[in-house]
Amino acid sequence: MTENTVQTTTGEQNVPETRAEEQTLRPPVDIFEMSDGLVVVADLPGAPKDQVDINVHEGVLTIHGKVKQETVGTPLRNEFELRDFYRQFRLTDEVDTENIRAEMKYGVLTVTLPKAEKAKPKRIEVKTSS
Amino acid sequence: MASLKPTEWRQRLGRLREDLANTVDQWLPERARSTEEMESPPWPDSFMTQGGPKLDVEETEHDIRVRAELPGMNKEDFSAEITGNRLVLRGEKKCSREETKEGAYYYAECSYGSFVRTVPLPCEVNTDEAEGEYKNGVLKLRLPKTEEAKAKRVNVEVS
Repeated sequence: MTENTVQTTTGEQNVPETRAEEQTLRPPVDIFEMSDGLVVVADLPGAPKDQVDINVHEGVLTIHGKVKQETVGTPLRNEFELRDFYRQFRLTDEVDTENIRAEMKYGVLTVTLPKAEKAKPKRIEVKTSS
Repeated sequence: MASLKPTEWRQRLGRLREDLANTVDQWLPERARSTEEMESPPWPDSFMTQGGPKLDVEETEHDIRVRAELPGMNKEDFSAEITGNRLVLRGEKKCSREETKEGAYYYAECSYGSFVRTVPLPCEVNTDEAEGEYKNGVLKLRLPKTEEAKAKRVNVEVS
């Protein structure tokens, strides 16, 4: 699994292939491998569950979280960047794309990418003839 | 090898930062602490690795609104308190993966560990009527100004 830098609309490789008008924010992620698949954890604070769009298209996993902008008073301190979260990763064919699951909790997205059958280690019985 | 895991040293760094902040607080006279310049952490760029959760503070006519990015925390994992003119946010972001202790990392960019952030408030607030809401990983606080603070606002007419 590699990051799909070409299509990411943030960072130095700023090639907005998606032609997204607004700038997006690259959410930090943790990706680790479990015995049955990969787990992607992304911090998307402020993005409600129904505003998070995850899809896999042509082997590219896209995470897009929309954040609503709201300002009520005079800003005294401004550290947030209220922009949409957007990041893409290229998946290998070792991922079973049909069974990807995603869960959103307290602004943290967890995507579970199960390994395809062919990527699972196969046990080969060795027969010995005595 | 456990000490080399990024989550471990981040947590330690968070604890160290809190210890340091407490120590510095003890040394500083009350007077210096209450000045507006005083805010923690004095060392930039570190939540857990980046200086704690990101904060937005806004002032309206009647209250102070604070927003803090606290993704992945239970309500019990953090606290907000007001002492004098300072708002202190502290908490700990736990790594869900640590429960499983399984697997290898490809990316480790999310920050975990304990944090403390102190923010100077521009005026006195009525702590009894302060309200908080935690939703989608963002904490929102509404701190109503005291009547005295509202009264201190003087409109100067310029002819």
